[in-house]
This record gives sequence, structure tokens and C-alpha cells, in this order.
Amino acid sequence: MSLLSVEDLKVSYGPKGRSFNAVDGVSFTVEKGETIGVVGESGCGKSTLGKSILRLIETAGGTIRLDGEDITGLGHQAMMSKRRRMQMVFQDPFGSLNPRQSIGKLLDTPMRAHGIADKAERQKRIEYIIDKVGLPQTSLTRFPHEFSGGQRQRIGIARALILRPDLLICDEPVSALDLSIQSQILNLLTDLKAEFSLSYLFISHDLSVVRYFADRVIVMYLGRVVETADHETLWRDPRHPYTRALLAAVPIPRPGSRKHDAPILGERQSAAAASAGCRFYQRCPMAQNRCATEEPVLRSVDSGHGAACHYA
Amino acid sequence: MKTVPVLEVLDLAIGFPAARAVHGVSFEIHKGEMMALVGESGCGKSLTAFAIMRLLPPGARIQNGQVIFDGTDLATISPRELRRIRGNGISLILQEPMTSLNPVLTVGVQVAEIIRQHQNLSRAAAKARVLELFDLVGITEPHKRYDQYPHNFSGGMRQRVMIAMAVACNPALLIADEPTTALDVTIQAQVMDLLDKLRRELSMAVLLITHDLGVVAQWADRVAVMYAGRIVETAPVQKFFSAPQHPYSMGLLNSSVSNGEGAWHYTNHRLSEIKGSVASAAQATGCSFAPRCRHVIAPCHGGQPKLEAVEKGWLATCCRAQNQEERIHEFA
Repeated sequence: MSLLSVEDLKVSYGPKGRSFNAVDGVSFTVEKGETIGVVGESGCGKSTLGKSILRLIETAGGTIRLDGEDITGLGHQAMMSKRRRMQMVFQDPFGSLNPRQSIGKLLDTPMRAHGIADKAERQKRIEYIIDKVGLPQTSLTRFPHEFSGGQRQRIGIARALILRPDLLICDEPVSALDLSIQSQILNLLTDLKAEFSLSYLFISHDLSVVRYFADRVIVMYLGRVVETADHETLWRDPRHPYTRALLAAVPIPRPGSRKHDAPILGERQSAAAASAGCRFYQRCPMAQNRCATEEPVLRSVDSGHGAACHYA
Repeated sequence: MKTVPVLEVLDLAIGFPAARAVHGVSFEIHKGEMMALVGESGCGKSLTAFAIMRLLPPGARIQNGQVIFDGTDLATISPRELRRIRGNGISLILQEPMTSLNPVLTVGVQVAEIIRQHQNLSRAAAKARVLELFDLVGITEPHKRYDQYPHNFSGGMRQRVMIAMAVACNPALLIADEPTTALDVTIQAQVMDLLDKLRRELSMAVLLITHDLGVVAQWADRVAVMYAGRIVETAPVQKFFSAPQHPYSMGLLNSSVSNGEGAWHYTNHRLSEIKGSVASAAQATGCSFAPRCRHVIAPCHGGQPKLEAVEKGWLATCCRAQNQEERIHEFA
């Protein structure tokens, strides 16, 4: 059984009658110990997807199952106990920590919220986890402003781990960090994954980071999954024209490697303006008449490799 | 290179009341060249770029050094003279295309304003020039776009408007501060290709401020790496990526998640880290990178090393970088 399984998930924004689906029929699974990378450009619905799995944003349709149990319709109390198993790490290590709480208090709060009563036990966990994320015990009495960006991200990770979750949803966890700090955090996430047998849903716009860190990858475009494959296959044999264009656009740190014949894409449409056919139709270099009227479904093109394109 | 550089920065130092932020930075840029200034947040790269046009934040002051552009020292000329150069001889594009435009004026009027400020043109002639510029930067349907407001433009299109504005008076130097950081990767490639095309067509020098080594490798000719307010290495891009001389440059390249071939995965390759953080530079007595350096030796604590030539056009501030034989052996 998959740790997390999401089926036909829909999330809509906007007033009644003029709403649109920011996440529109997304399905995938996360197995125990697996890292799923979710990539796509701004507005593709990847962050909405992450938050809706924790039900921080209400869903408009579909089901979310944790260990096979449908959590889509759970009430507040019942959902609390599920959130203990799924925690989130945010992008902004400056905005996501309460500036008026010491680090010790910051780490204590989630345990109190989840009813871990024994004070000694809580303190023991705090001391354990701060060490695991590579910060000294003296950090516990200090406040967020005393830390650098990379250290704050370590604190954010410690807070997410303090409830001993099985799944971490990481929304752009290294995007705000400098290159030299980014590698420290990625190494830390790798170590923690092994130590606590964690699974990650790793959301990022940075394809190089996802390529390095994900086992399987989901490529999203305007609320839809356009392609999904394991990391090796996706980079070796991308099938969807959007995936190909996206991979070709990533600048590689090696002079002279730029492909000047890379497909030129127009500007992205808004999800609200989606029409009947393929959402990528207007930017697609391979578009045919059929693509304007008939929306392609995600179908298997190879074992474990799916693409939503008529011509993939 | 025998030609006179477009811009020559000599021993520039910038300070805030509490501390000095940029220490003796020197570099030059030649006609049609794209030079990248890279470094991590707080290294002084943006401050250096803004100091060229004397657009420093409140409190910051040029404490020493010269900025030679077109035979004059921009660090000392009068504000009136400086105004003639800003937007005309040197122009600037910023990271944030969402807030750099006035939301209540049409974009056409905003671009025309720059042209009329610096050139004696009629309204009609300025409009004709704007339409020409829109065409040059790849804004389709320029007539229709001229009368639209910034909110009608996507992020990539707004950055094209900013670029049109920046190249309106054929500047000799364009300073681009993280021009694609706020843009999606497919749009980034388009905007960088556009800047690349323009500098070739207009023989314009470009000073590109970025933290993205991928962008540097793909589009720049030369690179200067800054650390804690100093240039630690400057080199032609090819040489920098194949044989970086300064341990900080090496650290940056090694900690990257992509090795160029892109075959690295967490299951088979552990990323190398640069230990510690830049905060340690403030306490360093010698080389500011010494507290984080893996190759530190006794002379590193003796004093800040000077920027010295490795070979022609390639300089590094590392006391170990000069001895090529030893370096290759040690850092291999």
C-alpha cells in the first residue's frame, strides 16, 4: 500500500461561476521512503497541490489517501492526527518562523498542539532534533533573527520533524538559499531521509535540484500533470513537448553547451483562460488541429512513464 | 585587449557608517562584452553595480576609488552631469519587472519619456522610436502594446519593456541586476537570448549581476566572483569553469547540483559543502575566506592576499593560486 495516494484531485480558486481549477485532476502516489519531485513554472499549481494534501486548502474534488485511509472528508480533530504524520517545510525561512518565539518554544509548540503532555519527553525530543539538524543546543534559547537563512531553514526542518512524521512536503525548501547553503540543506535532507525513513514530496521550480534529489518526477502545467517518470527516464527520454522545452531551457554550468535550436515557447496562458483542447496547445511547437479541441489524457507511454500528449 | 575599456572601476570601496561593505574592487568591461559579477547574497555585487551610477542606498558612500566611464570619474562628477549619463550612457535593468514600471501610465509613454529626456525629439518622433524599440526587443503588435498599461503585460513582457527602455538611448553600458531571477526558466532563456542579441547588435557592454552559474556559463564572456566585498577571482568563462583558481570558486562549482553532464543523483553523489557561513569573514585577520577554506595554510592568516595574475586576463586572490604546478597537484 502506498503511503500517500492522490486521485483526481481538484482545487479551485475564484468566486462561484467564475472559478477555475488551479489543480485539475491530479493523481499520483508516494511510496514509503520515496522522494517525489513536483516541477513546473509559476502558476502551474504545484504549491497549491502541496498545501491541499495537508488540507490547508480545501479540495474541490478527488480523494487523498494516507495509508489507504481516505482523509479527504475528515473533520478538524480527525485531521489533526493525520497532520502529525505529514508535515511541511516552507520556502521562506524568514517568514515562516514566529519572530517572538525562541527556537526551543518554536519546537515545543507543535508537540503541545498535538497533545504530547510530558514536559520532560518534549524537552528530550527538542534536544535530540536540534542536534540532528546540525545546530548547537545553545540555539534553543535564541530567536529567529539571530540566525542566517540556512540556519533558519534547519530550524524549519527541525520543527517539521519534531512530530516524527512519515511524509515531509517541502515547498521550494532551498530556493531562497545561496548556492553554498543549498548544498548543505540538500545533504541534510538526504541524511534525515535515511535516518528517519522519510518520504518527501519535493516541490521546486528548479529542475537541476529536482533532478538531483527526486526518485520520481511529476511535471505540471496549468494544473495538470503533463508527464511523470523516474528521474533517469525523464531526463533521458522526455516525451511531452513541454517537458522537452523546460529541460532545454535550463542553463547548464558548462560553457558552450547551450543548444541554440531549443524550441522557442511563447508566454504561458493563465489557468483561468484554459480552453477545450490541450492546455499547452498555444505554446506547443508540435501542435496539430486535434490538440485544439481534444484534451489529451495522461497515458502510459512506457512502464512507469506517463505523458499527456496525443503524439508522445 | 588593446582597446580602451568602456568602464574601468579602480580600487572602489563602499562603506556604511557601521562597516565597510566593498573593499577595493577593480575591474574593467570592454565594448560588446558581457561580464558577469557573481556571488552570494551580501557579497557586495549589487552595491558595486549600483555605485557605478551612484545609486547607493541611504547611508552607503563611496569611500575610495574611481569609476572611469568615457574619460570621466563618475564617483566625483556633479549630480547634474551624472543625470546626463544615467539612462543615456549607462542604463540599468532590475530584477523586479513587476514594480519597476509605473502602473498608472501606459508603457509606451514611459519608454518615450526616457527618449525625450535625453534626445531632442518631437512626441511623434519619440513614439516612432518606441515602436521601433518594441520591435527590436520582440514585443509583438507594438502599436497596440504602446497604449497598454503594465498590468496587461506578463512578467517576461514587462522585462522586455524594461530592456527597451534601457537600450532606448543606445547606452555604451547596460547594468542588469538579476534580470531573470523573477522569471520562469523558459522565459529566462528568452530574455537572456534577447540581451545577448542586443549587446552584439548594438556593441553594448553588459554587466550582468547574477547568482546563477548556469546563466554565467551560457551567456557571459567573463566572470568576476565576489566574496565578502572583494573580487576573489576574475577569468574568461571557459577557464573559470574548467580550472577555477580560488578555493571559493571551486567550492561554488563543486556544491552545484549539476556537473554539466547532469548525471548526479543523491543516491550516488554527495554534494560538497562550503563549511560555515560568510559571517566568519568579518573576524578574519588575513584572507577573508580563510575561516571556510579547505586548503588553508599559515600565510593565509598573515594578511588579505592581493588580486594577482594567474595568466593574462585571469586573476585570483589566493596565495596558493600563483604556483600552478602546486595548485593542480593540491586541488586535484
